[in-house]
Amino acid sequence: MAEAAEVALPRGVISYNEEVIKKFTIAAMFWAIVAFLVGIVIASELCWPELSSGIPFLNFGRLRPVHTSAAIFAFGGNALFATSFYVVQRTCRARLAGPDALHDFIFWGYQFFIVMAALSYVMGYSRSQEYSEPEWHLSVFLVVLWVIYAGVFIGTLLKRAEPHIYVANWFYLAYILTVAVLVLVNNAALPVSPFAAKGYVVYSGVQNAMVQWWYGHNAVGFFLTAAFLGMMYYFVPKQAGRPVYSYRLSVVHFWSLIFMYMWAGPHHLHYTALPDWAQTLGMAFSIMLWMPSWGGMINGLMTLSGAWDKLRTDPALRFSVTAVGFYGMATFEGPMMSIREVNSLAHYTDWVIGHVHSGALGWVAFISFGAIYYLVPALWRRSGLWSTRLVAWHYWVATLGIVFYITSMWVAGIMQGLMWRAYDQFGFLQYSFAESVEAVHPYYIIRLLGGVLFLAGGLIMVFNLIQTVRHPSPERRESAVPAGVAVAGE
Amino acid sequence: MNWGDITVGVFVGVLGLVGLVLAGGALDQEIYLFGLGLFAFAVVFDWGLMLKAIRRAEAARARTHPHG
Repeated sequence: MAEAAEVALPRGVISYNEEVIKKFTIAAMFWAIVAFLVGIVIASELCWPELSSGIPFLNFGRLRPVHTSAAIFAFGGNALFATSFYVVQRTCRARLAGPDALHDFIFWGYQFFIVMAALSYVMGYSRSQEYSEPEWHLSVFLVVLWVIYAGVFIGTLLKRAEPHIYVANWFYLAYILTVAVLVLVNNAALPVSPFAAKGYVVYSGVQNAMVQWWYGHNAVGFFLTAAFLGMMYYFVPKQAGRPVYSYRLSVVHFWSLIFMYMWAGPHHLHYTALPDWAQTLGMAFSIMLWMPSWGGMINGLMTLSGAWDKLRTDPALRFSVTAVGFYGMATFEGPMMSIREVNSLAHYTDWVIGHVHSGALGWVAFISFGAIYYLVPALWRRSGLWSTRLVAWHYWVATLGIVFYITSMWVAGIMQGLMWRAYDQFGFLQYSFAESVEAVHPYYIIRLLGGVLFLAGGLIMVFNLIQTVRHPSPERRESAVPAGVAVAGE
Repeated sequence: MNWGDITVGVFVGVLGLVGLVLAGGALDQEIYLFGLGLFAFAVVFDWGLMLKAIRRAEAARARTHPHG
């Protein structure tokens, strides 16, 4: 169908800026390995705390934000820059707006931000707000960079040669605009001095907690969900060679998701000083999110109707489809955990860590792997990947790693929750906190094993991609031709 | 060098100067490192821009005067 639509289009060769996409793709894989590696280091420190050897910059508290930022903003962010620039150019039939030097500034500026943020964390500078650790000077630099990114993306949409804006671009646009608003509001701080890194958050007490989790949950909703859904809506149809199952459902999915996500943050603050009505509001919107989330998942999976056989021969597609499955699972689990009674068991336990990783590894990383396996041969004009067998190995090793990770965290988390609430016949707590730490130790080791497997899969991928780039195909892929029809044609 | 490159180059140059001022007045190690890092980033970025422009000009000259 995509091919039929393309034939009807006037075909003109457009010179896309692919150099910047190549750079972002390489950076995404580099930071993926860094993020997985630091994850393994801190998982080991949780098993054997003496590993940090008393060295301050190896301390768990400093390395943990390095791991989360490297995974979300460095790996995920670079993958989103790469795919958003790829998708917007192809579906708009337009070269990126602005001079190439500006695109290069976005790339190098973002890498500079990542390195500087990581250095500040290990040096002990942090706002101590989850996923929002950079101090004011780094936030200002990020905002400048982000506004330029938004300008380039919106500028490309404005100069498009296609009448229609493909739905993937709507998701990317929502992510770009919302992240700008979130960072501007949540990172508002009063610096001690323009020449000092320390700044004080302008909100205090429960208002600060409320704003922080409005930011935190929308970072999940718009950075880790909406943007990667943009990736899904372009790359799954491309890999499957089928149009989106229901374009109308994708538009309903978009509007309902972005409307409801905004309100779900307070579920992070159950049983706190936050007013009860605000907690209930957050819980209600979280449960309502089931509908758009599963609508999107069904749309992604049904896109494969008539093309399920491709899963046998295309392991890269397996990544994308499994990612959609994990998206469905994580978006079922999240609302369930937001229910106040369930939250009383789950909150502050490792169940939350397991939930986050089923989303981060199963959804975010897998959909990115699927997109990168598609992008590398397309960008370097190769007829295919160097080894399909290695992609299959990566898939199974990484999937096994996720299974080890999330099942161990489920067991550890539920056990912690039950131990913390157990009373004896005299009404005293049955277990001390130290006993619950001792009880989860074996599960921490299983989690570490899961992380090692996931890293091993990542290394297999990097090797395969390097070999793909280094070995030109006998039959070279033609340079990109325009598309932009609602079937995500190339 | 086109006007777009020049504008980006000047903008990054200004960022580099801001970095230098921050490093100069730094009250802690973090701002000192960030300021120097921003300055170094700007120098390397603008140097890369100029190098690209020179290469483009040389390639254009080679096309118009293939025998030197």
